[in-house]
Amino acid sequence: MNAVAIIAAHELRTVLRSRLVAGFGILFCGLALAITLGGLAASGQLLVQGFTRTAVSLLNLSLYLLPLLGLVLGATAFSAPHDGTELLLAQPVGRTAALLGRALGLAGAFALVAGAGFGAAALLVAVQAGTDGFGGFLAASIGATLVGLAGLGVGVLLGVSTRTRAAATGAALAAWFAAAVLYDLAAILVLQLFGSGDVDGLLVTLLTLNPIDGARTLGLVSLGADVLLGPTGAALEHALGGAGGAWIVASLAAWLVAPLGVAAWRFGRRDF
Amino acid sequence: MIRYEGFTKRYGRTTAVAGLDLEVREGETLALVGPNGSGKTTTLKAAVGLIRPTAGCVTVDGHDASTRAARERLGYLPQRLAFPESATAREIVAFYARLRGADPREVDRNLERVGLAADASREVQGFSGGMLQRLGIAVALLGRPRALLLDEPSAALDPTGALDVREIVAEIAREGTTVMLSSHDLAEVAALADRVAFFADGELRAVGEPGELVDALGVAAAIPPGTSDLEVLYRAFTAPARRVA
Repeated sequence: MNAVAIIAAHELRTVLRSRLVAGFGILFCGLALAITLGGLAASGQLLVQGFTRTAVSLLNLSLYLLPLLGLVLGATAFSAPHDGTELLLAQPVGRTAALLGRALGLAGAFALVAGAGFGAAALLVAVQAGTDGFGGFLAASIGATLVGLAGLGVGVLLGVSTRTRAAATGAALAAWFAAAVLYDLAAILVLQLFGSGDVDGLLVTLLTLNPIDGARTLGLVSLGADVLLGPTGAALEHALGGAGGAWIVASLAAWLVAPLGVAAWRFGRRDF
Repeated sequence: MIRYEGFTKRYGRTTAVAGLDLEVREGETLALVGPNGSGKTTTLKAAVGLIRPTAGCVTVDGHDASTRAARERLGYLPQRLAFPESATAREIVAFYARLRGADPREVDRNLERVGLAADASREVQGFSGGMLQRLGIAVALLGRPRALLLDEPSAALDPTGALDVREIVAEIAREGTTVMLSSHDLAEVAALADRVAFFADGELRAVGEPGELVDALGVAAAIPPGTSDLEVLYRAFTAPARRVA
């Protein structure tokens, strides 16, 4: 077993026992089940939506919550000056291996939490309403989890770039607020000001710059945006047809890899 | 065994350590002594590769301190330990044993050695400061390192905890392991150290055996009754702007 695997396994066990992850896991599972159940009908019978509608609702929820968990988890794991990193780096282990191992362990814990939420929802829908539309649900779930993992990578970068846990947590929350809330407003403003010509190109560019919006859009298109959103959805499908969708997928891949790469570079040069 | 040659560390305009030339000899116990911010921790961390020199170099058995080969020869106890609270003592030592490629039998052997055998299966969140330090020493001893670096091993411990740690370190030193430690506790230094290095303002002011340094200063006759050699030396060498070649 190499150092990366040893550190990842240790980190995974440690993180799964932490209150932050356990609490978030319970919250996410609870909300996923609540959304899936959909509420009680006037007759008092339990209504369970099909996979497609559940996927849309869960996509919106998870694209808020999962990047938040990823950012905070990554930032706090690497931020504290006495978080165990000193002792870890005093061992005969390379710094890149140490960072990668810890990040993989965090990613594993994160994926388990997300999987538990989506899995519980999927099980409920399958039992109550059948498996029709499961493919789109699965794609949306994977997409949302990958965006959360991208958030984890950004969180790790913020963690290794700050000196205290408070600073790292603050930076993570600010990044989440900017990406999940402010960016939409800024994107609308940009489209209003500069979107008179090549709207599709500008839209794709804006979607590549924010993985949350990129994944949301891809998810909606994969679930049938024209059916779900009418003419707006049809316009979206047109914009993402051909190279547009490929660009967004590529940007999501870059969001997964680039922050961790920069974090590893900074981690390797930092004094502890 | 550990050699500092012109080691300098600066943070912006602040110089933490300036032009340090120092050798830690095989099998000796060297104590780094000085006020807070005098450069002791920076000096220790540089040997483990946690801090990169701004100038000069630090080597362990001829290997640059930033390399794995250097760290394979060292065990390190940081000033403040942080272990996952929900992990047991055995899980923690076993993790570091796997990481160092140490003999798995060392896990229980080291826990026994530091007096934690009975607590091996307990989660560390219930451990006292002294128990955590002893757990840290159990980790630092994995892989039978040739030198042990301890950053204020008894700081913030009650007298019982401090004495326990002191006894363990003394035993390790008696077995021939090289020990470099920083400490504010002059009684601990007197009990453990063969040589003492006095730091102030990021500079090494003097290094040697306490008796030799007292002789060199020519203050032996002037030491008041009830005052230890180290107290006198500490005052002499860490006073502002005092320099002794």
